[in-house]
Amino acid sequence: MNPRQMNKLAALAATAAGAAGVVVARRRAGARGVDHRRPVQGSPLTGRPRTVETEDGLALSVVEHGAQDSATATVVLAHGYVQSSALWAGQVRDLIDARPDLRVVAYDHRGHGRSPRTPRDRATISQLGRDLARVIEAVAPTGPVILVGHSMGGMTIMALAEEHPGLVGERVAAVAFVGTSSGGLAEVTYGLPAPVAALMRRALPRLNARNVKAELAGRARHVGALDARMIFPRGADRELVATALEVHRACSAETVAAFLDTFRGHDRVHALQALSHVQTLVVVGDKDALCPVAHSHAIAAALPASELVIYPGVGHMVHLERREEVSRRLVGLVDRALARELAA
Amino acid sequence: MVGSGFAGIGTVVNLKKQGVDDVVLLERADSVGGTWRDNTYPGCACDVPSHLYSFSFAPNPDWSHVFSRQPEIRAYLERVTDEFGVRPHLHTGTDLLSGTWDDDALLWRLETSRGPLTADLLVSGCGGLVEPAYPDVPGIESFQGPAFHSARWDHDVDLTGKRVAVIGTGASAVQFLPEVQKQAAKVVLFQRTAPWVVPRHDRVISDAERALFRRVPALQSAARGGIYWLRELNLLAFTRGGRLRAAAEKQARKNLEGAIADPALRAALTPDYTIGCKRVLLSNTYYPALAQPNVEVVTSAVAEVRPHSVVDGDGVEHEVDVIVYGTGFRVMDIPLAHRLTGREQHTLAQEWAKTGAEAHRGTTVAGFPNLFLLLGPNTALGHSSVVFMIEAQIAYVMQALAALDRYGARALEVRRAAQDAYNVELQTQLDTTVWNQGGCRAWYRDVNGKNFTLWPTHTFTFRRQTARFDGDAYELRSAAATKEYV
Repeated sequence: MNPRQMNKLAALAATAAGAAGVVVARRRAGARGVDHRRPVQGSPLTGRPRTVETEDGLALSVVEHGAQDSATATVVLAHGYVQSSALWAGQVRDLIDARPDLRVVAYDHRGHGRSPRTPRDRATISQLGRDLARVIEAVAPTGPVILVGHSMGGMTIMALAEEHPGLVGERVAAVAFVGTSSGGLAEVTYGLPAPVAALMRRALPRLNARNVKAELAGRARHVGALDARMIFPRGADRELVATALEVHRACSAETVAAFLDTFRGHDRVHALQALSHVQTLVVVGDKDALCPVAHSHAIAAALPASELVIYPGVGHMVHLERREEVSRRLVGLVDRALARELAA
Repeated sequence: MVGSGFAGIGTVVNLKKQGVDDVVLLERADSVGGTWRDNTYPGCACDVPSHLYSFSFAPNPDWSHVFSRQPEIRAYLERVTDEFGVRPHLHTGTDLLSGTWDDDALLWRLETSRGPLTADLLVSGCGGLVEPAYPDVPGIESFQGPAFHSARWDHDVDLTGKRVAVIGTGASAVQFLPEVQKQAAKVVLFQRTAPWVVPRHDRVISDAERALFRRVPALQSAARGGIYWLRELNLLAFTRGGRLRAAAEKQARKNLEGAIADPALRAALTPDYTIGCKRVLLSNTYYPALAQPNVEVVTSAVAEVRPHSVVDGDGVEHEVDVIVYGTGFRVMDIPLAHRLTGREQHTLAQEWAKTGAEAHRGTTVAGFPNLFLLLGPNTALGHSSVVFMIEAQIAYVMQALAALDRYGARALEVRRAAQDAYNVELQTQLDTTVWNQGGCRAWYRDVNGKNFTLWPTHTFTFRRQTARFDGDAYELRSAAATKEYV
């Protein structure tokens, strides 16, 4: 990461969390000049930053919010590919507003946000699952844990369930899968005609390699309309798009390239077995081009006790586009899970 | 399905057409008809031409008048109930006592006067004009003679030779007053606000015409279309004003001046606000009746009711034998709203106490999943037939059902942000209409002046908006263990 990017990231680190919240709250002038946003309640987000060391010695950036030692439960938020914990800001705020007794933890995957880069051979979903295990052990040594994963973050939870069924069995009270997939990503056509998607898929590795080279030469990776098209539907709120793209821009070309391969091998429907005893929530936008709605149906089908929530007209960034509603569902999940823990 | 008026009957017909057969139609009274069963006062008739004020799927070539009388409309609804197979679904004498949304099972748990029920979907066909409203004055209970509301007309009371107080000058009073005047020894009319009254161009529809309509249905639909488009054109008088509004005022003034010679009475009956602000009334007999010697018009609100008299705003006591309240309805304050508890554990009435009565597309309310309100907030009309609005809403409900199937979901709930955006735009549109700007206090608006009843523009705009299910405005859910997959 070059110094300019570092600066940018630092700036983002300071403001992004708040910014995402503010952006959501800001009055939006729609096509008819209609304002339908409600102001966000509560104080600006101030978290307690810390690091958690991975098995290969990387210091992952972790921020804890809300209750400390006396927390009734810990919610861990895992973000998606090419994103960062900054995009969970809305949910962090909503969760601690609704339940101040929660400890809410957002962390950056290796190679993302404020966490350091990863060696290429460890840029895998399995590794992310092991990283998550480390995070849980560090931030929530005791008490119930609720895991929330968007996109690659959801896959990370599946990898954790696969490799640490014991940890999941003992500690995890609930899981939310947001705009994610349990496999079959190689067949996704991004809402494009299949041949175009295939072409794009073939071109991506070369494009990524070129971007990495350019980055080494000090040139920034281009992030623009095409990236926006992949994660947002047409007509999405411009400020939300800008917020998300800003985070995308801050992600290094190296990380983009490093993690690309791991998705093809992601096939973890069987891993969901380990979650059959916990409360689960599956959330998806029906215009999700990266993890289509059918993938969420598949996850829900594998988890008979899950609640499936669909937002028509919404893309991959469902937690941004439907911040209020997704947060409410998460709070509902936490309530249900903790009520059950209490009863048990 | 709650309530068996136009909305309830129309919904069941359409559900059956879509192959949804597990439907119960709850009716607290002992027969169908809703408003057209409850309002039996003398002279009760529709003020929208019947060829328009009827179901598009059940044209009636046999309407006897342009503006049908209540018994004929009620008979029409009975007939539709039979002809379209609604009767087997009908449970009369079944009052919905309470309904609670179960957010885990994703269904409504209902208590009725005849036992419990669960429902995946709950449709209210209650409309907004259900519960009679009475003036908030002391002594109403102390009155010793017969007293009743026009929507609960007591036909056992013979008004012949009696002194009758008529309180209110709304759409009902204008219709029953001329009938009462013929019988009573004396009528004292208490008028808070003078209404605008235009002539009713009613006539008998001849046998030949009816035969023609029967033989050539296309002619009847053409007639219906003609009435429809004329009324949409008329809407501009309400929304824009201009020459159309001026012409309507002129017509109403002529109606008044032609019947009332006494300048003092004429002045008392001349409205002090723009025409259209309150409902424009249609009558050829109201003014002539008021000109009769046995009618006294009191131009102040009622201040008090005593055992044998009514006291007006100036303190004058009027001795009467009977009181008839033509004081309208508790608008949108429907019993159902007090009986339904939503996802957030409060009733619809409590929700509306916070925001004023509001819904998305007049039909769905945030916090109340799988509930549809026909003739909900801002679906009433000042210019045309609400049956058209009901049918548009029914289409919306059908689209919503189809969407649930398509997504394999069990519950849908409108997002609060979407509902808010819809209502902000609606209120902006209403701001410039005569209903909000005409300088009157009408039942169209609540105590805060917010117009919560009227649809602000053309009815075809509403139909277009409700023709498609706007999924973006919703959250769809399937509960644990009840999922079905597509």
